[in-house]
Amino acid sequence: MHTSETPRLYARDPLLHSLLPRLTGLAYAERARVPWEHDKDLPLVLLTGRHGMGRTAVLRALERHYAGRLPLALVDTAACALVVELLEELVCSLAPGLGRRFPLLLPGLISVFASHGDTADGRGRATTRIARLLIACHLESGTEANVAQRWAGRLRTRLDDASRAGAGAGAGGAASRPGAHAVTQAALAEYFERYTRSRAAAPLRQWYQERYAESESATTGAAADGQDGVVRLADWFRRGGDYRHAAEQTLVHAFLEDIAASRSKWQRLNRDPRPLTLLDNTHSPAGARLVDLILEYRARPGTTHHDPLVVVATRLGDAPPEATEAVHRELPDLVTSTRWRRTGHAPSAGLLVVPLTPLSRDDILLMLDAASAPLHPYLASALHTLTGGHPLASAVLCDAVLDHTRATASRGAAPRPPEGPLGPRNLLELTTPDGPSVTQAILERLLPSPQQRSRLVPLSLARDSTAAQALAAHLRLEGPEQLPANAAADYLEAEHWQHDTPQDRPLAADPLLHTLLVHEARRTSHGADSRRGWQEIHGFLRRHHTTRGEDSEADALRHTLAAGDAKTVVAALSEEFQSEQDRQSALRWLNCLSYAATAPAPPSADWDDERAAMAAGAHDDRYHDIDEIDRCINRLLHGLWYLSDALAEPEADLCDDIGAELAFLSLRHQTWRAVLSQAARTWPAAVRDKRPLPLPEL
Amino acid sequence: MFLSRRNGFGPLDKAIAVLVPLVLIAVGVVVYLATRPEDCAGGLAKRDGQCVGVTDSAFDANDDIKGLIRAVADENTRVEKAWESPKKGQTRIPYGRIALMMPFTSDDSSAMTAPMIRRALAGAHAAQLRANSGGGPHYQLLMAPDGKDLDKWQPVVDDLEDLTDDRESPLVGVMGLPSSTPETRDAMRALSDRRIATVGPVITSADMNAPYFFKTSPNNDLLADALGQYLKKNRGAGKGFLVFDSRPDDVYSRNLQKLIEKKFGAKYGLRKRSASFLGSTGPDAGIPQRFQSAAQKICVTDSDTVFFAGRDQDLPALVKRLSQEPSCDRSRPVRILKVGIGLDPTLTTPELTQMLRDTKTTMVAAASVTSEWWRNKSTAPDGLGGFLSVFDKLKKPHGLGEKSLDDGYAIMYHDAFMLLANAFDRSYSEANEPTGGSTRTPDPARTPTKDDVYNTLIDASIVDTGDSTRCIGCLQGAAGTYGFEKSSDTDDTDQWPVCKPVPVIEYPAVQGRKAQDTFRTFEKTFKHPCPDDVTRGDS
Repeated sequence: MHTSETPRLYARDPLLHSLLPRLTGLAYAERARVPWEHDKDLPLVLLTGRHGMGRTAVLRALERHYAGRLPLALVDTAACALVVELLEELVCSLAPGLGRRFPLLLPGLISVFASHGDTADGRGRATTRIARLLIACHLESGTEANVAQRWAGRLRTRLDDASRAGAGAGAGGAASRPGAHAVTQAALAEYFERYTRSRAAAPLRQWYQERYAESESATTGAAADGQDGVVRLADWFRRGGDYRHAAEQTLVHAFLEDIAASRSKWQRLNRDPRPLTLLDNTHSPAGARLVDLILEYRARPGTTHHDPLVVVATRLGDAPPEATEAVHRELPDLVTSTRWRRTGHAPSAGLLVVPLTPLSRDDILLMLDAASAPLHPYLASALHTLTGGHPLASAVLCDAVLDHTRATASRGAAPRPPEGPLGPRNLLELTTPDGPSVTQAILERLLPSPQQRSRLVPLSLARDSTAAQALAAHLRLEGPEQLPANAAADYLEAEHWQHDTPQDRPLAADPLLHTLLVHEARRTSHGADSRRGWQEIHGFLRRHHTTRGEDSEADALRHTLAAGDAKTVVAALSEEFQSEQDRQSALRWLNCLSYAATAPAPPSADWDDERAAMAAGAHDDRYHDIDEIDRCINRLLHGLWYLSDALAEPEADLCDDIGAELAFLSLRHQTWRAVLSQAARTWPAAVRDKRPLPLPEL
Repeated sequence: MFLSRRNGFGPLDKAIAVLVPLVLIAVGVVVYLATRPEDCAGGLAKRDGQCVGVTDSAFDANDDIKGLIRAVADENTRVEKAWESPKKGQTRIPYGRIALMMPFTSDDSSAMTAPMIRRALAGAHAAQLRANSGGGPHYQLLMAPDGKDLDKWQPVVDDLEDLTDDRESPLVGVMGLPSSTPETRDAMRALSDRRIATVGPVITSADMNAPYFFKTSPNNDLLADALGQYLKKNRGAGKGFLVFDSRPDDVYSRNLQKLIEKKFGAKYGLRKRSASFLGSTGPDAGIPQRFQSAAQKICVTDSDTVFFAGRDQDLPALVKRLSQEPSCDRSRPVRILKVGIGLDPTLTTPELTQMLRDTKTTMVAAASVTSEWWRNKSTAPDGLGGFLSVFDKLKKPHGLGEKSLDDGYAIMYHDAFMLLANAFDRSYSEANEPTGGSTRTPDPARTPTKDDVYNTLIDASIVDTGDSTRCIGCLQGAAGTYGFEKSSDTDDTDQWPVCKPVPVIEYPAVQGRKAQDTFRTFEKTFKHPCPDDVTRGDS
């Protein structure tokens, strides 16, 4: 079923090929039935993950493969504000496939929609919605506008009749504009008279009646024909608050009971595929509410009959914190069995939380497989190290790589940046097929708010919150909030990038996000003279850390290096190397060295990246004025700086050189021999594996 | 259910997918088992519960003919062995095949009764033994049962046609076809269409005609002429009455009734003096043999000359009825005139004979054979002696009984076989006559085909020498010496026997009364009388 047109999903097979077929009873990619894992009670599958983890992609893949093969609804819950609107969408999607006219839910929805029809505008919207429902349920045929018009006409006639009757009875002239109540009753009367036989209508009226106490029917007055229950449902809905919640609960129950009743015994015994509902973005209020109501319905104590609806919901971030009894499963767990069983009475016991995991290096290798020209052998690894397997970033980058190789292969096309052969180091300089840079494209998806994004780009260069705050003040970032840096951190938390923002860490804790933001800052740097230029910002930050005191020396050096001034850093390190004697200071020196080396590389516009060559000693002739220890430190610093880059390939020579330089230094110092030689042994392996450099233990 | 099968097949779907073909197969098997032709012994096929086909070996039939069938099968085997693997020192003797197509089973309403079948088979077997005891080719007697009601002739005819292709031991011809029914007529035509010479030994309906269909018995027309000759000499009171079988599809009875009405209707006023009954032969159509009204009418009208247009099986019931009829005047004699092959033993039982005597009733039958021939050998045709010598040997082992010759079936079936065997013999000798200077017969011997047999049969055998009529190559049968005339436009004998003696029998015989003259078929068409077939010492 996979075609080149449809995007392929990587590393989601346990979900697509194992879990969902076992729930729906229908194989994902072939025309075969699959034994059900759960006979009656079904878990609600909640897929969690940060932005770009492919939650929506999974739902779309499911829709692509299951549409037309079973009753299916895909609803973006973030697009609807109310649960009733979600129910309307679900009915419209499921009704054609189910062959059931939602006899229980339909009067409820109609009464709720009609209760907003006390204004002409509201009535127009209500009739449109009612028309949509009736067409979906095959109760009416024609275009939505026509049916809505017919309904509006019929309602008007009924209301006119009612008001005449009311006037005749001496109710007075106040009835010139029909109240919500009257519209609801007219709509219900119209529905029941036109679309249900009285015998069939009786049990469903009874159903509503049982849920709403009869006592109040006296106060609501004229509800005729036993419609009180349904009318009062609309009443409660209009009242809002807890009343509305109760009304929504009733409607969701009606929805699920309709679904349950729609399956005949034959379909059950024949294991006909179950209906599938895909709810996207259920972190939205309406979505979360709907999920909660479904879970509550399924958790009713003493439930004997179960609804057959398979629900797959997605949620940004993690499972809701209050879902304490939810069952968590990793993707690989799903291959054979979920081993899910309802264990408690809490609604969340019906929840099966599946966090979407990053892609593996092999997946990325597969994604790059379609390249028309041979790629750099380290490219996949570099891409994986950069993105950490983040699906969206990986996909955008891989597409850009493939696009670049295609463009390079067809010489007629205009060359795209970067020029020259594509290597790991210029991955981030790629552009998407549509034009914008990859980092921009990815960031737009990961951080949807443009304002916060533009704020986070420069602030990401700051080492911690304090520095970020200072930088924000320096850059005169403005906004509605008092503290722009805090607001940016709050935004990251709201977008579920992090639970909290530690004070001593950069704002964006996620390595990928941080790398992207830093690169975006580098890419958008406006030259040396601008206040928002790379040099200027790093200069400011260096000054900021220098003023903060002794502990910030490493940070100052790091920003110095980031600004491209390696000489100063080497000088500072050399001075310390030659002046300090105790072992404690040896550790501090190593820490300083390794931390400074994590500095981001300056923009390529005003700086040539010769770090690898420098580390290999290729340019030692430029430094004949300094002694051999300084030259060694210079090589060591450039080597570490180069290798700290996520995209840099840890070439064996360079890694070994790190050890050799450290070993050389250890022999040149009077007291640091032990510490430095230990580092000389452990660091090459660490840089090779891209691990943080371990500081020798005392 | 409403979705397309893009969602695969569930357990119930699969169950149906498995069950429906299974049920269909089961139904098919049941239907096949119920309708398939069942196997019968001897390579016959079962149709509607009856074994039909063509066989040269033993098969299931009436119990009283099992011995005869066995004997025929043994003889067939012997004949085949004499050709395929002759004993040392003996030459290979070629053989032809003559099929006996008739029912071999019977019930109350079947075309042939069990004794008829037995006697017919005995006659044919006697002829086979006679033919095989002499020189020339030998014969297998193939038994071809075509159902007790003669209605399963189609597969039999198909099987027979296949046999004609055999070059070594071809099918010479078919004999049997006992009764003049529509089925027999269809079978006769089918065989004729396939150019297979067929002999009907006991067929008497004048309209049973087809180019390849030969009859050894005279037809009703000729028999009625014999009755006419008798009536001229024995006029009686001249009050006639016609009793006829009313079955519309019985060719024999219809033909006979028509002839009697034509020949005697005007003279005896039969149009107004007649009664009908339902014959016992044929499908169920009501209560058969209801003669009460006929008997009453006969007695009330004082008829003395009763023409009976029906089958012999039904005649005893009429006699019984007449004897019980109170309105009858027992003082005046009554004659019941009938035609037939002979007198069925059921008509000459002591009980019936006594009834006839008591009511002064005489049966007058124009027939193919008469018991007079073997009671008084001097009156017997020349060919009878040879037949009797073989047949008498069969009587005891096969329990054929005292009056086994009376109904004429044995004699007529014998003659039918002999007719075909003679024709084949002659064709064979002609085909293998030494030609040119050579005195040897050609080797391998040329086998005549069924067409040769037919041409021999149809060759005119009655020759007018100018001062007498001579019979060349006539069949010297047990029922007289007779031949066949080549069909011509003016004088068409339609393969009915020419110069066949037709004796008229009176029963019970009156002591001292002289035997009636013997009528010869088609004698009037010759200037001179037919050649004598009785070598009487006193003539």
